[in-house]
Amino acid sequence: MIAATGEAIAQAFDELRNLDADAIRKQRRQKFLDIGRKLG
Amino acid sequence: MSSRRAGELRDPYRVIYRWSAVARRFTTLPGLAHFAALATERSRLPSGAYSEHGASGSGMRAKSLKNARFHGADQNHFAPRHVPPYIAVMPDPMRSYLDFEKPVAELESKIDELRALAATGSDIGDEIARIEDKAAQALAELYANLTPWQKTLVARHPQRPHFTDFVNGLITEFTPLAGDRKFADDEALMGGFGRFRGESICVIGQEKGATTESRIKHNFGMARPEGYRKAVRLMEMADRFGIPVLSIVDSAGAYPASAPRSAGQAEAIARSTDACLSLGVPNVAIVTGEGMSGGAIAITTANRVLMFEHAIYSVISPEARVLDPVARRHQGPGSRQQHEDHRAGHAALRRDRPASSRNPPAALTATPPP
Repeated sequence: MIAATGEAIAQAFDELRNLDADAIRKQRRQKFLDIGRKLG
Repeated sequence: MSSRRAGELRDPYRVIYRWSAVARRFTTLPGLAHFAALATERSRLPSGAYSEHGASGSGMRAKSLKNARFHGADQNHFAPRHVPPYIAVMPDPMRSYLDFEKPVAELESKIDELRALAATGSDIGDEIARIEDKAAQALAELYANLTPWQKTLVARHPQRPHFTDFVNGLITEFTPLAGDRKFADDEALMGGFGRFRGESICVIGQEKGATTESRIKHNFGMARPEGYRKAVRLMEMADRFGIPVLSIVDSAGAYPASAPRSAGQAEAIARSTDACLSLGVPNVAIVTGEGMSGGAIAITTANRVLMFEHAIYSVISPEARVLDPVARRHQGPGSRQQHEDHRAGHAALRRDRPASSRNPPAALTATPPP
């Protein structure tokens, strides 16, 4: 189970690997704003 | 003196037998185990073997003990003797079952009994396989239809892996860091740097502990303000060095006592959330058990939030939700319906008021004097 967790974490980091700092911040900010706008 | 007490004085073995019931439960001490076995065996003797002569017949007692020829009468009673430990009759002493898992527990207990029987040479492999299939099916059916509360219990299962297990299994060269450089260290929220698949990583997360001592040490995974300040310190350090951040979340929430609250719990959570949002490095959070309230969101505001199948992630823990006055509006006195009726009454009153009373007084709307 812990190995499978490691796979999932590695995959999540791989998706963010090529983003620069500003893109990472913007994506994170947008993700949480969307929670309020789309799910609220 | 009560007759029971007098009986004990006359017959010390009666006392030994009473204490052997206690000793049998703690057979990890070899001396106690032997003592328990000896007392149990003597208690199984026919009553006339050593009690017919009463308290004054100590010499006769020895004779009658010899005549009884109980097992081991001619042996050294203080020699070590094998006594099956108390936990040997349990199916699996390391596994704990939730209340609703009782049918599965019974089946697995039966499997363990059959395995013990098979070890003696009985050919019951097919029967064991059949019951194993039945247990697996029962478990799958049980977990396919969990109620919300059962899911909460599963998320809080004491044998779920915790922060330390994930760090030991996934992170190499892990170096834990302690302290918030302002007040103290918080063992509930752990963190440090290590390598994940060869690359540097910052890992932070709540540790609940696996034993009673470690649970107390880690405050059951409920962090204090210093814990969140430590998380901020580690995240800022990771950001400075361009190291990705992994958050392992398993907490029932921030520690809700009055001391942490007056020490700035809310501010610490807010600053930690802000630090998460400001990170210029990839941040992945994984909810491994329960992620409750601000205690969780303080380190879960990540680019990717992963969850285990039977984990829960909520704005507040179910217990606190029951106490929440907003939730109480849905039922009973002071319900939402009553609240809305009350508001509707106010609206009707405002609507029925004359127009003059709704408008501000003329004196207030008049143009100020030049």
